[in-house]
Amino acid sequence: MQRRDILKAIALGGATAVIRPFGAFDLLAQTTSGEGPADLVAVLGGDPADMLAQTLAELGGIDRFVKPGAKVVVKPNIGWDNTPEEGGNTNPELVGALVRRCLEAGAAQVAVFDHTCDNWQSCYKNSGIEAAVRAAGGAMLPANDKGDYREVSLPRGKSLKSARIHRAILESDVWFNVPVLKSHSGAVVTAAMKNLMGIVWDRGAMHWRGLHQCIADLCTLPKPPALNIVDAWRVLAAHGPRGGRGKQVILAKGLFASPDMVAVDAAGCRFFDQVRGSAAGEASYVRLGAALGVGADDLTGLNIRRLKI
Amino acid sequence: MSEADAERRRFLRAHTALAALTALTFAPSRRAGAGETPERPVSTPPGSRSHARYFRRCVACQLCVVACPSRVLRAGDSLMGPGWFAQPRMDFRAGYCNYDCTVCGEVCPSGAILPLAVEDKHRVRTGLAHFTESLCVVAAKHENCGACAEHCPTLALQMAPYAAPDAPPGLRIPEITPDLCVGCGACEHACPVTPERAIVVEGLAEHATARILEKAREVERQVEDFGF
Repeated sequence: MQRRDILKAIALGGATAVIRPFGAFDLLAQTTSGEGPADLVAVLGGDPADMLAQTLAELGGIDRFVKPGAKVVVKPNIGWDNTPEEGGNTNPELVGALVRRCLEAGAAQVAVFDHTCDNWQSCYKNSGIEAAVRAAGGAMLPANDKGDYREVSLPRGKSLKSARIHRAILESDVWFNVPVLKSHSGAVVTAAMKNLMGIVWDRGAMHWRGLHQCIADLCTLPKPPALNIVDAWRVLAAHGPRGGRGKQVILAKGLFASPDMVAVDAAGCRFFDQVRGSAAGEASYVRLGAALGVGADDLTGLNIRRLKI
Repeated sequence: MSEADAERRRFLRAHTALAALTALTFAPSRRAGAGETPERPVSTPPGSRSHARYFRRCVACQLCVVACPSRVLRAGDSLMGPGWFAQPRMDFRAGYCNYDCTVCGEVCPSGAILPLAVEDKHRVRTGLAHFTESLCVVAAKHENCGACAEHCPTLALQMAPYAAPDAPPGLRIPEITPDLCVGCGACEHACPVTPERAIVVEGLAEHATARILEKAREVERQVEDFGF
């Protein structure tokens, strides 16, 4: 080997070491479909625990997200004093299954909370989520006390420049965003991005300052969820987000997951139209989130795995 | 000036000052500042049936105030009118009456708040929502909001297309179907507009009956395609 070749090899190795931490290789990975962890996984059919297991496998396994000894937070939608069948909250079976997987991966603790709209104790109990989490070995945290929220600056936000965020999120090693896909009176469709309103104290301010821009702004937070798992097992097709009298719930048996909350919501909006059988259209916070660089609203460049069980 | 005149003058001065102080204390502006609209009729808990009956039976023991999980039941004050001092009533700035909750009727020891089965409670109207379009975020700022409709448990409040001459497309504004309204106050509590809410609930002196819709239906639908 020539001296020149050796120098070339050293230079190339050095360049590789420099590029790798900046994510250039992640970009390359996205172009090769079917190889490596998926960017977005979509599942239809099966039972919630099985759907979650297959989804996590496609994303590179739970160990990619949960390290031994980690403090984990799971943030479902528990906003309403609704039964699971009414479709206002995340499916308790899915939440329980995720808590179990986190503990199996060696998590030191798994805490679950939501800043609910209806009375929090009724929501935790009647949603079935409290029982499912306890049975799986996790803990429910209250989120009805302003003292538990800390001011976090959002320098990239356009309308929302800061928000008070629950300390459980800020003190966690990793957190999972586990919303339910459903219709919404103000946001058209709600899934991953909108679910972040439940980690914030003052939701009213977000409505007042322009809901869609504020949702996108909030998603620029310095500590985004490691993974967004959108429950579309039961879909409240119209008159959401609260379930109850006069409303229709469609048993659709879907699940979507991605580390990218804009992409998973773009996918969720399209699936929502499939379930309804009519176009509700894409919620504008999806486009606004992409404009802020939170994620990709164009699904064409992504490595998507579609599974039917 | 005689001693009797000086005494009379002192008496008049002291009582004028007292009258002025009283007038200031009870002035409507102070009440509005405390988060209450003086003219707005008060809402009493479901199961109390009417203000007259409630006043006869309630001993103001505050058991319902302590037990109310939603913290909407609060002691009234004399500024709300004669007889309201310590009388529990619904304060929608503090909370709203949870649709499926019947706790106050279960704890009331005097029969002022009668116990109600959940299904029966759903039919009780304690007040009615009133909407002021000019105050609403959608009309004033041309931004979607829907916080009120989001919280409404009965579909009395829904978002309908809003088309003002200079408004961008896709806006939706609250629309009330009064016969479905139970007066729970969820809409008023959720409304982000301050100091006066765009949507407020006015209590009824005589409770009425609301229409209720069918319980939620679950239908299975074979979804063939993800749509992307």
